[in-house]
Amino acid sequence: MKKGIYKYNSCTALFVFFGIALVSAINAEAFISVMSFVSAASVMLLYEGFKKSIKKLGACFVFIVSFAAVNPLISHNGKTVLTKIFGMKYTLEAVIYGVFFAVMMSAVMLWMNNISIILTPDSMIQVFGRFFSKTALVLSISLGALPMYVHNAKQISDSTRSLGLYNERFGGFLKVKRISGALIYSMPEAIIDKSINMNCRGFGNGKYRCFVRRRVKAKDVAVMLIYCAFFVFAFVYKPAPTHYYPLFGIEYINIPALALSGIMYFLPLLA
Amino acid sequence: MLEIKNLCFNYQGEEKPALKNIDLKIDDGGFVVVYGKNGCSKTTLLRHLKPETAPNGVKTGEVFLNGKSIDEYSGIESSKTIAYVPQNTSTALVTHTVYKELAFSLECLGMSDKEIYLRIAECCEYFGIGRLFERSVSSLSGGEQKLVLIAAAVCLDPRVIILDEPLSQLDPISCKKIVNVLHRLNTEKGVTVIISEHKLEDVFSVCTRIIAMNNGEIICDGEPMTVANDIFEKNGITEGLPSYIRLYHMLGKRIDCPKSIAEARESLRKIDLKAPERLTEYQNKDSAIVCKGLNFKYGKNDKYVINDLSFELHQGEITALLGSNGSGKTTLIKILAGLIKPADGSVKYFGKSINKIRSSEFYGKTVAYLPQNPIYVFAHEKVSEDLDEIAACHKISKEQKDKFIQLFDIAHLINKNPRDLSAGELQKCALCAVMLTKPKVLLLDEPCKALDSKEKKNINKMLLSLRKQGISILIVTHDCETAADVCDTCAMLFNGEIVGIGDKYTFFSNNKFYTTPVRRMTDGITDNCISDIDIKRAGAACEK
Repeated sequence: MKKGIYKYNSCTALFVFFGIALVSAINAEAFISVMSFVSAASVMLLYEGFKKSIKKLGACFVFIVSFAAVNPLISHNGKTVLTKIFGMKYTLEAVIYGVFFAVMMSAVMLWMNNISIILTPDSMIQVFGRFFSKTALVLSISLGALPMYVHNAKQISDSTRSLGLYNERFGGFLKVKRISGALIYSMPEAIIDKSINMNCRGFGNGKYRCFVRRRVKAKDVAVMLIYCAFFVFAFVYKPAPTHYYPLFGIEYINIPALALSGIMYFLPLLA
Repeated sequence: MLEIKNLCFNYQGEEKPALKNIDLKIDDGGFVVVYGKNGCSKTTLLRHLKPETAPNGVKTGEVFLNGKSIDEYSGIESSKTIAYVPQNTSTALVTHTVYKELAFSLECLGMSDKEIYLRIAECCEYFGIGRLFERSVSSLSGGEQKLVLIAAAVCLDPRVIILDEPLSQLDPISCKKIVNVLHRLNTEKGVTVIISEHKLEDVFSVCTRIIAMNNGEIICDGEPMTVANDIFEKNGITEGLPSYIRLYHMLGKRIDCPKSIAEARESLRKIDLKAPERLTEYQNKDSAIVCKGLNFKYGKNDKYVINDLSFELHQGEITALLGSNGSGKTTLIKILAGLIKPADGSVKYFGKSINKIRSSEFYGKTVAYLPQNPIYVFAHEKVSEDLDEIAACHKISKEQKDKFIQLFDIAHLINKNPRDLSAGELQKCALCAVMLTKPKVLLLDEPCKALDSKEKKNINKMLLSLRKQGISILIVTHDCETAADVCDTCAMLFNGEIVGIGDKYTFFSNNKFYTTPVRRMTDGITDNCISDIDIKRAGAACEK
């Protein structure tokens, strides 16, 4: 995992990813959305590998295509009419806006996914463990509950299947009911056990101090300062302002601003 | 010194006391084993020794550590002095990476990074787990997870370490590793070790004291050899005693009481032990399952878990697949149960490919699968509700259902919540539930895991009675003794391949390390002795 920005302290990586996600969410420029998407996908490929990433990218593709197809049905702006549906205009500009908007949304989702790789249930304990031990426990267990829930649901589903229960065509609902019922009984027990075990090992006495093998160093501070500058710059300067209606077009291209945005998005891969 | 004074305990809403008048004194530096069958309150007793784990209920009496009541210990004092390792590793591991797990207790005490790093580095060296340092805890085998938990508990340098059935879910090799680690802690660092176990084979030679419990009471307490003989004389739970002690009593004390397998071998050389005849019952050579060239791996870049595996299960035969934790046993049984698809190869049931059997026919009438954790079979508040649901789904009449309940002797359990049952009781109920589907082939994943020897015998009896009805049974286990007691054929799985297969006598006789304790004692002395039954028969023949 020690690739790209992960070589730095996890706080640095979190700061960078959160910042980029925020910039991507508020910037609707076509160039920036595409750049953000490509960069987020590359970071995901780097950390999660090809197999996991390709599934998520496939889901993004479906989302982009669906959004592009649906947007002209809601928004009838634009001059280039492709067809008419129920007497309403289905415009090329609305399709283009749908594509770029979905790309921007997908990019933000991928950045959030990249954040979740770093932000594990353990991080909650590290951040809140000392002063808000109960909050840390709740957050950590809530974050950790999802994989536990999925694992248990899979085991119960396998067992239900092998018992020959509800394998007929319309048995799905009853199967889901059975699995949910079993989970309701088993999950709280596991959560209580876990919190007792943490308590047993001294958690919650107010002395918690997070052990970090890589503390925040000068180079981390430097990266954060550089990114602060990038973020300010991204809010002030527009590299390629885009208008989608009535006709799609890019007003001008600010090459230095575009180059700096490129560095901001792709630096996490090279850092 | 740890002292328990007149401890009595009732769980909330339960009339029957879980602990009755427990009086104990445990000296510093002892290695104490609390021994007893499932449900005899071993865990309840151990949980009272650590204030944070004390169960809810009505308690009288007190526990003192170094003259101070443990209830008066602060959270920090308690975690520094007493370490507790619970039985269930999945909830005991509180973080996601090995080094974070090792650091957790130290973090809770507010130690500096430098101190923590040094302490966990020392622990890694001491326990030999340095190679696991950066690994995710979920990627470790059962034995490795237990080792990490013990190391994490020891990081704080406690004076007392309490372990609840640390060996019950481990393969024989991992068991030995854990026992060695505990023995080292006890002898080299003087840590008081208190463990609960229902099988004494591995710990008998290293422990200094055994406390035998039954129904919440202490029935014997003292040095290991004295307690073992006491248990035999008082007709207690003898099945969990080491094989060499059982041998001594099975042979009518005709040899000197051995203190180890090596001593037992020496004693056996002195008497003329006759080889008993082999017990073989199944005759049918028709196939129930045939699988050929199976390959399976979880991820594209992962190693093959099942590697070009071919195997056959005959009708009315009980076969055991043995192997250490992580050897691919569960993966194989899931492939055979149709729950995961192999990358290559074929699986045929009664000559028909698994892919060509309709789901309703396959799971309803052909195969039943009992998962490693039997709790996954139950989804309702009462056992009876699940049995009713399965019976209704498979159109089983009430009379037939009652017959099964009688066969498995669970009538007194069906109105209980499955989560309140002991491991053995739960296993019996789960077995009854899967048998309601009326299968021809039964696939059991570790059916004797966490069961005491008596419960194991009960389950074995049931399996033998099912075999008599013509049901083929495949058991996945790492328990050699169970395999020797109940199976016809045994196979050893290693690295995703079957490396040895044969009838149980040939299999255990050929194996030099992965074999039963009885075989280890009789190897080179007599043939066909792999289990207690064989020893008894050999002893009887010798008497004649």
